[in-house]
Amino acid sequence: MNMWGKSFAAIIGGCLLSVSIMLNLNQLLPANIDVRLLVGLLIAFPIWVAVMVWCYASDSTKQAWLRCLGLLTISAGVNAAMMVS
Amino acid sequence: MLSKAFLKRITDAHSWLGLIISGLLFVVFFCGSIALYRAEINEWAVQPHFSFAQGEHKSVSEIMEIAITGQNFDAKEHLTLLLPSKETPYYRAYVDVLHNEGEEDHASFLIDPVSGEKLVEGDKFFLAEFIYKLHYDLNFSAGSYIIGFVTLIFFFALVSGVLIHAKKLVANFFKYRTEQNKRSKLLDMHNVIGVMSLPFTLMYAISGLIFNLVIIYQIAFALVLYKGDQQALLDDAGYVSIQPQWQDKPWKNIDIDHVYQQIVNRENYQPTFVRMYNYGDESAVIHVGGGMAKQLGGRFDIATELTSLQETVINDPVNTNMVRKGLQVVANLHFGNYAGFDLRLLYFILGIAVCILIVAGNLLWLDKYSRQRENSTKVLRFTGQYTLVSTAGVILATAVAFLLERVLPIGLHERDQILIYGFIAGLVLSAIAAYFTNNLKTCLAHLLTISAFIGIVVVCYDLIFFFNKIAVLAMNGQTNLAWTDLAILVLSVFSYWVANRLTKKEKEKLILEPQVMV
Repeated sequence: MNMWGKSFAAIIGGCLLSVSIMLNLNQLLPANIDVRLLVGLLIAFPIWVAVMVWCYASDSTKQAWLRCLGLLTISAGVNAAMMVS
Repeated sequence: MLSKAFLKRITDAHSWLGLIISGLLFVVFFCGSIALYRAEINEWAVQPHFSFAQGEHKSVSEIMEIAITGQNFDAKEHLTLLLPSKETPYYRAYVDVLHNEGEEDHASFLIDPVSGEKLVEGDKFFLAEFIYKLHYDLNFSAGSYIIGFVTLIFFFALVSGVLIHAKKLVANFFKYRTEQNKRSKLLDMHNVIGVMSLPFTLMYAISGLIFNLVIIYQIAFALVLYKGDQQALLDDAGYVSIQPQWQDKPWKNIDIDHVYQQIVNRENYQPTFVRMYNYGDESAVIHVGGGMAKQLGGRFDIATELTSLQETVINDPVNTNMVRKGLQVVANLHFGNYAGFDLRLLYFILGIAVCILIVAGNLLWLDKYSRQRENSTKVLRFTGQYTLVSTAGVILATAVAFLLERVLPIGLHERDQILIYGFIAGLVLSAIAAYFTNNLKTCLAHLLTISAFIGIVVVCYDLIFFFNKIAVLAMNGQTNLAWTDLAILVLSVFSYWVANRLTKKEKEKLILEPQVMV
């Protein structure tokens, strides 16, 4: 049953993606650090769940992982660029 | 437009994940709904056993002295007092004690604010705390993460439910087909409750996730943005830690009460606790905290060094960190404590409605599964039993816990543990009943009837043994005891009514079935 595979992608991939996107937002938002942390906290979980929906809507486990990893690569790339700069 | 394939996959995930988490989610909502009234339940447990003296309250410093007297107090740690209020007419003291590894690190007492008498160990009455802990961590430390992931999946179920139902969200807002078949009724019930409670459930899902899984983001932020410096992150988030250095010199000319009064007499400050650090030492700090009147999420925390009188404002309406302020608003929304009793009643009704939504969801799954002939009857039966135990079993176990809280002698050794065993025994008994029954509906009716009977026994016990106490307290404006008994009675009658209807329907079915066969 590919539901288990999708679930792993949804939970692990969703977690990593939401963390990565939050780190980017935290760097990019033009606000005080406490506001940025609060915004991050409030929208991190909706991002995670959005990724979960995306994974479960996939044809297969492989597609769910590919979607997560594709987006994660881009987001993590931005993370790395910001860290270096 | 959402494609058919998309909706099918999302519907499959919605029902599959919903079924998996349904048991724990029922516990979260059922216990959470009851825990909205944990302060009242705690008073219901405590007050019949004690009489509180009327008159002028002793000062905070006197209560502190009383709290540590006779204790192996570790002055380098904390002494905390939860302050009395109109509905909670006593101090609750937590005294950190010197201890070996594995031993209890604190002692707690209830203290009469007028006579200063230590009434009983504070942990003796565990029911309200136990139900609250079941709600957020299942009463064990790693449980908070399990509940966190259950909440995450619940959030997914909400979003996927909205997507599945999106086309009919408005058109079918009030649709409930009472005359149609069982599946239509269940589906309508599931949808109507789901749509109507959506703002409430979304708020609960997000706030619950913030409480239970925030650690994931905290670690990630600390590691990446703060290069491992967790304290820097906490500083930015407004979490000031009070860690005075022990000087090993006794304090001199300290006036705790004066400092305390100076803090709490400020406009709109509503103190709820006082905590002392390094009590008796020159480095001692008093920390007073509480809520702000007329403010959603308003809070104050002020720490003052008793020798130098230097004040550190951790939190007040002017110096508020957005993270702390935001989290306080989230907490107030979650606990429904920003308005009166009626708001919590609304929360309670919505919480119980979500419990019904969960059961309806499981019954829909069972109905769908049973229509597919190739499916296993073992799976069907197991899912039915699982639904029964995780719903009616939890209700029965909670009723047993209420009964034990009321009838167990206060002096009983490990009274709190016996209460937990009673809860577990309720669950085990319902599991045994579910395993051996031939008819899950009849079994459900029996479990609800027993729960109702236990509830009525609790109320009768109170009326027989504590009637005078209830009347006197009510006349003094302390109505928790009376209201809680009334609530138990109403819920018991409701349980009995549901059980009775279930039994009636099963009997009608038995009468009709032979006629059909003929």
